[in-house]
Amino acid sequence: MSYDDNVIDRIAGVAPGSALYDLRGEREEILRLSETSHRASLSPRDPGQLSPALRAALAARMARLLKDAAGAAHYDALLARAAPDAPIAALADPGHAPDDPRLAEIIRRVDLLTLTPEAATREDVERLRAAGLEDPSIVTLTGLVAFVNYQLRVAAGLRMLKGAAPR
Amino acid sequence: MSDAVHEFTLSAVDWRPYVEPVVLEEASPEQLDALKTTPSNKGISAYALTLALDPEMLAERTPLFNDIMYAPGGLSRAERELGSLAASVMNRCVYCAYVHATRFIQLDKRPEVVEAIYRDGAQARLDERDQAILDVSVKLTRAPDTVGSANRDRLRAVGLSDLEILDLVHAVSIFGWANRLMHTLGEPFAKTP
Repeated sequence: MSYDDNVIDRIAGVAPGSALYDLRGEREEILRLSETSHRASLSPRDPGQLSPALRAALAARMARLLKDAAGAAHYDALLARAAPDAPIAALADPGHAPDDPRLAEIIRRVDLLTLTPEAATREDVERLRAAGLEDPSIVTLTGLVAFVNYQLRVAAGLRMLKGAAPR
Repeated sequence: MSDAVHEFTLSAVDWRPYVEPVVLEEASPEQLDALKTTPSNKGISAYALTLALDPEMLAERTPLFNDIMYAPGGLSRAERELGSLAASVMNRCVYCAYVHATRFIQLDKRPEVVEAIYRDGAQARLDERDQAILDVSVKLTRAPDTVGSANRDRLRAVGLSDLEILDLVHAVSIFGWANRLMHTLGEPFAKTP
């Protein structure tokens, strides 16, 4: 993996050669493992019940929920490369509510865990099971949401360090 | 279940999943590798066995978590725990808060800081440096688009270096991850003495 092309720094707009770029280099192992976690979450060797296109669409949705335009652009590009079917591509828009009951439950979890994780209960997991998700897929979906929420917070923190004004 | 704990606590709690975790004796080589263990090891937590349902993610996540919390230099161990505690309280991960409140007190010897955050959450009143850390941790947890140069300037003003600020960002963000696993995939329960 190239140190010069990692997703978080691209989303945050960290320029090579800048003071922040050098600071990031002091935590290079975190940078590296954040990137391998991105791969494990978005483009895994074994996608199981959750296709790479679905994962990218959900990540783009989360970026919009968190008002991160650069993050949304990154995940939109990843989604486009995965050649999604229309019902999957539509999920990238937080205003879209899918008809498919399984996708609707997946979206419900993505939105709940991104915006109000404190409200999650056992019943939310039972709903996913009832919609046909196997336990490993429930852990994977939860892990994907958790990772993207991590990544976009690091990016927001890097923008803060750059001196960007909040939106 | 009746012994589930849903209020912030400093009394010993354990954690159990809502899903069926990996059974160690039946784990695949990839799961064992992600757990960095062998079937003879009985000390694996229910949490790790739950995350091992996705071994590819777990294998990257464990060393990342450890590096963020323990890498030498930069922000003190106690102040990393403070950022993690603030995130965990905002996200109501009672188990995470218990673990990191306990570690903060072990390292920093000021239980009153934990008491204030447990009691008042984002409105807790702390000394100047702790307050700057709490405030940015709350904003980054709740609405990352709202943090900006004013937060950075305040952290610098109370004496944090930019490496310390970066370490704080990582410590809060990794709990944006950990809380979303632990609080949503299971629940804490009181440990029997």
